[in-house]
Amino acid sequence: MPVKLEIDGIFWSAGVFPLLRGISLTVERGEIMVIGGRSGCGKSILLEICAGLKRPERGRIVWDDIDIATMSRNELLTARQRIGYVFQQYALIANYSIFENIALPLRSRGDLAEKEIDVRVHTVMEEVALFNVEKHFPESLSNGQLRAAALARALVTDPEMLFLDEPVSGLDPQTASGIRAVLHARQRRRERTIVTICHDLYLWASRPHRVAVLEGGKLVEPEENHAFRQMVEARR
Amino acid sequence: MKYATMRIISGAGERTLATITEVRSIAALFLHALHGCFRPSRALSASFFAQISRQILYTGVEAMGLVGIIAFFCGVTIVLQSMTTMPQFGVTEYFGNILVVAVVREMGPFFTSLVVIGRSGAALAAHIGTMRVNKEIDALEVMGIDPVHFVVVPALAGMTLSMICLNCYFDMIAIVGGLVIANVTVQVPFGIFLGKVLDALSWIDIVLSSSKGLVFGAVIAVVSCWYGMAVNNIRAVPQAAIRAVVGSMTVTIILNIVATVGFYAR
Repeated sequence: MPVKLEIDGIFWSAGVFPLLRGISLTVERGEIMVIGGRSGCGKSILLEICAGLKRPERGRIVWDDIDIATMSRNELLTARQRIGYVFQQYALIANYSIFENIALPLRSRGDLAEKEIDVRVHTVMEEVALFNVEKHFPESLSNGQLRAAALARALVTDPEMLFLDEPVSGLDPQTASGIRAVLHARQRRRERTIVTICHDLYLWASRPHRVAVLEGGKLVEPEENHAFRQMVEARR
Repeated sequence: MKYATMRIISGAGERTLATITEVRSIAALFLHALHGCFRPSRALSASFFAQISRQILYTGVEAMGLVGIIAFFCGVTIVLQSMTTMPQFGVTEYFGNILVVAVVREMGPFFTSLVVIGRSGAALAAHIGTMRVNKEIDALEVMGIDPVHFVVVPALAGMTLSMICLNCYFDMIAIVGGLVIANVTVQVPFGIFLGKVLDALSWIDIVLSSSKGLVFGAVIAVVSCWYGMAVNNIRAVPQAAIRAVVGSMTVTIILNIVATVGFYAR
């Protein structure tokens, strides 16, 4: 069952500079939420806070009516098995092969036979169009392949909620549209909750249920955002 | 003047508090990792043993050349010094005891730990620091994997095992070095030399030497991992390596003194 995400009054500062100033948002079960904004405005920090990787200075993060700030470390580690996360820098384990990287979240659960793991890894690698690289190490892959591998690792457990930090940035249009198609298919087929950061909101404009722009430490509706309006105008 | 004094006192106080916090945090990491050593995650057992093997390769096997050279020359130097100095005091038959006391009890564990700190402690801190910067540690957390179980436990187990084995290897090579130089310079037969060394060697020496190896290995692993884990940006990676070396050396020297004093005070 997909997860409902609520964050309420989140504050976070980078040193003395307040980056997030009382952010609240709700992403309903099975929704796609796209967050845009200028570079350095705190989008990645917000996503990490939503996934429980960073603790906010103030505010609550609630997954399905449970405030994750009240969870113990072990409870949080268990709860995180319900989510998938794609980092902007891919964050693949450097001394693991691509196959081992993608299999890692499955192995960490300890309830699957190696044969089943093998089938699931190959299925998800096909889904993201990652071929003949399973024995390669991350340093020998291109940016597009690394991003696909990171996405495969996030999708392999079929998580109930997906956090994606710029999943298509720096990719050629064909690969980017392939990755977007994979995500939309997942969302449609299994009603997964997806929170994604994307500079180019227009690319998602026809599909997401909700779009918000982070500006001045607050989330604003895209219509209120000058840059977004200009971008849409330019595309027309 | 009064202001300057206050600043010195407050600075010293802050440093002391920071050191206490650091030591407590390192101790907590050690306990967490120790718990993980005895209850390794079944799910990660395949990668766990692969990582321990990798750690033993880097820390133990690849250090054998350097440790061997240092050990050989240690043995040579001690026997040469003993053979030239001891006759002046009228004692010539105790070079076996000198070799055991100097090498097995003291130099073996200490020199081995210095080699491991310089080679592997710094590398481990830099490796984990880089993993932090590349968000690999965050990726583990987000997959529901405890980074301490994944990164620190294999390092702790691998480094401790390597230290114990390297320590034994150092002792053996040093004795061989002493044996060779004694045979070459004053034609002491191998059998007699070895007999004297074995007579001087007791179980307590072996237990003390192995215990030091075990403790030093654990200290180097945990201190290095802690400094690596504390990295938060790319500029902090080389600093983490330096701090891991300094921290491990400091703790190792203190523990070595405590162990030696404790041994002779009993």
